[in-house]
Amino acid sequence: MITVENNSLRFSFTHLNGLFELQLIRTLRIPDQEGQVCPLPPNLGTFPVRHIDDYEGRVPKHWLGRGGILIPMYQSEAMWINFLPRNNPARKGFVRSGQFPVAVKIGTGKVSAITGKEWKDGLRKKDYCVAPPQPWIDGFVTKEGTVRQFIAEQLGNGLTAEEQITGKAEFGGLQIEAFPMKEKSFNNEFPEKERETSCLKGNLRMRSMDIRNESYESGFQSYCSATISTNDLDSLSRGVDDSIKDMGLAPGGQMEQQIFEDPYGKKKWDTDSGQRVFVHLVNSMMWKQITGEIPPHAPLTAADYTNKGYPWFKYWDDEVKSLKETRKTAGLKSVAQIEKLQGKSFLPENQPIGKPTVSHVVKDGKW
Amino acid sequence: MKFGEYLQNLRKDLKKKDPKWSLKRTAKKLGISAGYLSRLENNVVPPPSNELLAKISEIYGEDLDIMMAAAGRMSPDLVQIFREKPKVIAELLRAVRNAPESAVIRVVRQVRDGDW
Repeated sequence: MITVENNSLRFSFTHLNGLFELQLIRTLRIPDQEGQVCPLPPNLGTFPVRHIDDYEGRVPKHWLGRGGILIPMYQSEAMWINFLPRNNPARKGFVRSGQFPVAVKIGTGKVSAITGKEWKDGLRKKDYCVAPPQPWIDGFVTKEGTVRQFIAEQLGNGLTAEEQITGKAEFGGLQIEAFPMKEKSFNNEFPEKERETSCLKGNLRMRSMDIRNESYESGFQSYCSATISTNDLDSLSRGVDDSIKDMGLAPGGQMEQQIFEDPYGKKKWDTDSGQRVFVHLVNSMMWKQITGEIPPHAPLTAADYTNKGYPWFKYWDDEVKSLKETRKTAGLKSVAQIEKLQGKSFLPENQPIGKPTVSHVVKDGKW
Repeated sequence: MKFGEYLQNLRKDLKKKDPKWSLKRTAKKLGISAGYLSRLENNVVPPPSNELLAKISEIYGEDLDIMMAAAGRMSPDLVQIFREKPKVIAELLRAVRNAPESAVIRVVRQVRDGDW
């Protein structure tokens, strides 16, 4: 069962006493400059999440048909997806501290963000990541160690990954599916008496990732979580077509990121117990129109953020193997590259960030 | 509260707003005799069939699950769900038994998956 808890998606696998939480994180749109590979951008708070069922009559019927949730996304911002395997200490038997792994598929427009292959039921070879060890995913995997950032674009302009790979603008949105381990496989991998020691190691890794997760200071947090003023919203709306349109995710700037190989093997996962969700994306005007809520404030530009001295991040784990598969996503063009080819301007801003302050996530070693 | 009293209270509440909800007129709407409706309301006879309960709930504007529960029964679809997942449903029901309604609504609000 998937529920919304404080704008996070919580996947409950009650038959295994397991919980998995996933957050859709707002972040800066990194510059998309030829040859520039950025460090990881910060956590600027979660996107507000709403059940699509709450807006019958205000959203297109085919959105309701897909179920799922709704989030607002400015064109000037980007998204990363945070994975939080959880335990439930309040419930006896739920003790799986940091060690309830799930296999996660991420798709945009029903195209895998990891391989670029068409979304299909179940798991396919290397078409998913496993959390843990995967702490997050920031974009489309274009080659080993590099991703192109998830940014929002309207369907129909040829910019989204779906349109570039399939030639169609049919689904848009973001698709997520999580699979637990088979019970026998889990008990074999994490025998009862060894669970406490392995849980401790899992917790140390999780704490180092908390540095990126809690990266914004309280003042900055207030800016990002504040809603846009009514006047600014009105001025944004002038001359803007506010009809409801499908949106999808397109490739933005490049950053360093590992997507780790499955440490357990595809056969260990229970593909009969997957839970999935369709995430519908809307821009700020559509959000106001559909939900009646004022959208959150647009984030700072990457250049402003860097000039203020706020940190960027680097997380690299040499102990875990990275995916090496050749991917359809390798051929994706970023929005800026398409912009250049067509002589059009889609991006609101694309300024370089200069030399950012990079905070290296602290890893634990053997001692 | 017994079923008869519950049924009578429903009709009396409706009658406060519209005098056409007399025993005789209501029985006619339901396609039963006034005598039978009176016996139902006074618990002289047991609650009626599921089909008549469904008709009563529709005409009275009452939720069928509530009416079935008042008659000491469960809607057939709920029975089927319970048969399919007895352990989970039983655990869930015991867990929410003493929780306020707002908390229960929160527990069962899951993200619906659709067709895609």
